[in-house]
Amino acid sequence: MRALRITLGGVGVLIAGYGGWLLFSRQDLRQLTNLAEWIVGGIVLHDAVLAPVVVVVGWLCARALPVHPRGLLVRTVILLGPVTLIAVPVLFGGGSDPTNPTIDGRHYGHGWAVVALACVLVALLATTMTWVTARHDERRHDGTGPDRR
Amino acid sequence: MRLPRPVVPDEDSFSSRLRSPTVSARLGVVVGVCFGTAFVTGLISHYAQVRDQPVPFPVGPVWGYRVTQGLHVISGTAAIPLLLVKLWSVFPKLFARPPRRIGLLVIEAAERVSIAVLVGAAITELATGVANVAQWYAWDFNFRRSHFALAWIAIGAMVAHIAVKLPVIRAALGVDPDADDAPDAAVTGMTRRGLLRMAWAGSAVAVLATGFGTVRGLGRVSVLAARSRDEAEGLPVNRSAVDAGVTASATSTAYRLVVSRDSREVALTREQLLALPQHTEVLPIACVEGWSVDGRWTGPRIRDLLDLVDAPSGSDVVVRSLQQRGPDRVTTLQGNFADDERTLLALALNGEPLALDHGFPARVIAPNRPGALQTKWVAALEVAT
Repeated sequence: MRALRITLGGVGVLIAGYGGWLLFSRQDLRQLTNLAEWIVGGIVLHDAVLAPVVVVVGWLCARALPVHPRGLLVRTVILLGPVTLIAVPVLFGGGSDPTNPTIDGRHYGHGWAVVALACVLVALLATTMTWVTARHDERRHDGTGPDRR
Repeated sequence: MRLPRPVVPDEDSFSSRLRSPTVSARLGVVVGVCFGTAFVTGLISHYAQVRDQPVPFPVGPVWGYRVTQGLHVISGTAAIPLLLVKLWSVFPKLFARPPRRIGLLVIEAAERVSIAVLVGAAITELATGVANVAQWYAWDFNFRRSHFALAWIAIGAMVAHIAVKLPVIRAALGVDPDADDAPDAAVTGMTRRGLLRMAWAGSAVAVLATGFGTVRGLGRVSVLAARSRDEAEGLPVNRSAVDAGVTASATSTAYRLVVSRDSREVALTREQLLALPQHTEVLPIACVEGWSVDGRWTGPRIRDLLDLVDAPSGSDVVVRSLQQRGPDRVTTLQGNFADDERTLLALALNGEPLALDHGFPARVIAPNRPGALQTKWVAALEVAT
């Protein structure tokens, strides 16, 4: 196990090192600076903006909402949040070209609404299943299990 | 007066018991498979675009490039929801207090740097990849080179991360996520398995909503796809004739296709090209951006044109376009592609003369080839010697 881990670690460092060499040997300083902005920006946007917002909203919901509505909200966020981020370039980006409708040529606002509806429905279904299972378990444990309320 | 102590969250400040190595490891395995798939398919695409190939890129199967590049974009897209949930599941570790012993501190610092490299490279690869598919070029760096280099960095950092975490991963994968310390669904509204199911579903939603824009039938499901089939032509266009600045030269009566080898040279009008034996092949335009659409192409075989200057078999051919700008103005058609009988100089698409945006008066079309190398508005075929 130890030998495997050391080998694996070494291989990883070599591969990444090759990538680093590719990165620094083929572009000028201005391009590399711009790329560095993207890399650092990506980490900062996730670690200092997106993740804290999710954590704080989750913390607030845990206090403000009853268990199953909270489950519904969490599921909807997991389903809809990432696909919304992925759709940012087509929703708000500058890729569309009036002379070429085959690029970014759909009604993305409508499309997003359809996806959102589908996500809410799936989340509702999953939440209902959890709720039914929880009630079933509660009934079975009635009188014997500890009172959760 | 005593100031209140500032509240700095630490690893134990995060209360959700849905977080667990059992969850992180399962998500990590699938993210790893997605990254590996994207990496390998990306290498295939880069190799297909190498001009001098030590091992020739294969001419078949016809669907090879479209499938691998569709898979490239789909696996990257699928990874995004999973990576986000994975990062959520390990987020408290960002706030872990550093160890006091200097030796451990050095190890911890090295690990944190490696994770920063992994996360930074991964986020940048996925974000720029998604923007590139929508042709939203919000950067000054060279996308192709950066995406290639960062892919090696991300994969290397991932392999190193697996090496560091191997004991944790092995232990976590051997345990039921909802055993012993797991949260009660009646309290949290969700089990850990339920959380994982939502992550898989979120990944499926992302792929379905964006990944199949040019697939017949499924194109209507991918409501957030960047690319669509063109209703009239059936084929999407990346660079239009206006963008390429070829409108005048491509429609000029002075147009001649020049086929040359050393000092031998043959110049042909479009009418003369149409008078040569015509062949029809169904071949896809397949883009590295993940989309692909079949076309029914008609025109003379490239090989027949090369025979006009007695080019030996296996000769590489330099293809020059009328276009004034763009990296693909001059491309190389490797000998095995030039000799393949399915490789045409297309003059017609789906029974109609080529539209200007599809490369009128003539374009290269070959099987299993990146769309960027299917040169449009061809001006010259030069046999490399």
